[in-house]
Amino acid sequence: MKAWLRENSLTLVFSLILLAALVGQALTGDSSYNESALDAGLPTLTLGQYIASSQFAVDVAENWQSEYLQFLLYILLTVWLLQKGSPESKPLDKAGRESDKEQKVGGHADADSPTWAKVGGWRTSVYSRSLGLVMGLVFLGSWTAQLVAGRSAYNAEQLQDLQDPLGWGGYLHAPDFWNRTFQNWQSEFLAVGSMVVFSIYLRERGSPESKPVGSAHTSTGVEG
Amino acid sequence: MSARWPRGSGVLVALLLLGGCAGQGNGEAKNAENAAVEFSRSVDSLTSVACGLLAPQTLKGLEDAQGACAGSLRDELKSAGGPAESVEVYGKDAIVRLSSDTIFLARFPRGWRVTAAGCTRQQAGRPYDCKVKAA
Repeated sequence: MKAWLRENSLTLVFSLILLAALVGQALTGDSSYNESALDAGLPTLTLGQYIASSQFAVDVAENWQSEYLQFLLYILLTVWLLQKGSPESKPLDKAGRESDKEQKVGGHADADSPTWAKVGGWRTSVYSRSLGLVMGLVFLGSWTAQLVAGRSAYNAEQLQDLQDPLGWGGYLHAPDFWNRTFQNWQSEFLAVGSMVVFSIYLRERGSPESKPVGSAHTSTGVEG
Repeated sequence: MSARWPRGSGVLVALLLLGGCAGQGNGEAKNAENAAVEFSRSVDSLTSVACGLLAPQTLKGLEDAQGACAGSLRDELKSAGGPAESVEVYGKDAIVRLSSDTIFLARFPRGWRVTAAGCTRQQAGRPYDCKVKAA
């Protein structure tokens, strides 16, 4: 048990802080919604009702879609794009999908390689892109959730302001949808870009996200 | 970079989609429509019923501006709004378009209550002009 906890501590800790942050968001979001509702003489929401509401759903989904887009782009762009000196980049001579031998697929697979990496054909082709495919699907799912929940939350506000609700086309053209989208995207792109550049010159001893402390600024694709 | 996304994220995305649709069921649309139609029919003959269907802030707004609800509601909304032509519900808010009136409602613990009535559409993107609304 102790060994299992240690070997999965990264996933466990991130799962726990995710849940804690969601609880914090639900509690404070419900409180904030109810403050506004009371001011306007409108009905308030219990915590359970708030968690099931479009207001909570859109706030969660807009952040999730941008996180998954960030990782999707990072996974795909780092196949071809390089950054000299960054541990986030591949070595400068490795750009591209690389050879079957380097990727250990088909006849070059190891004994303990995943089955779909060994068998060749469409299964190896799909498995070779499975990380990007799944990240892309979760991104599209989250973005769709943002659209559905965002329209519902926006239309509830429209009705409270005695205005007509918007249809799907109207909401897709509305500033609300795109503002929620772009404000999340810009922060994700900034974070990734900063990580790529900062890790050229800065170090975090022991972290696989950093080069070894003594590595030269010019060494690329080296993780500590 | 290390993987930082939780397992089962797809399930949570599906739950978010459900959350986005919460409160938009046919049952609530029917309840909102019934409240709007009952309110509109009661304005002439059973004004006390219509006053009881006003949201607290709307009742206060009407009485502050025009005096006791019964008389002032009848003065403002001279005729019934007719049958419902369309209903849209988003969470705890609804709009019911009757043949000759548009009514906004909100769902309180005791049921759907009218937040604005006697509403006519202004130019696109502007609020409706409502004879009865919150202060």
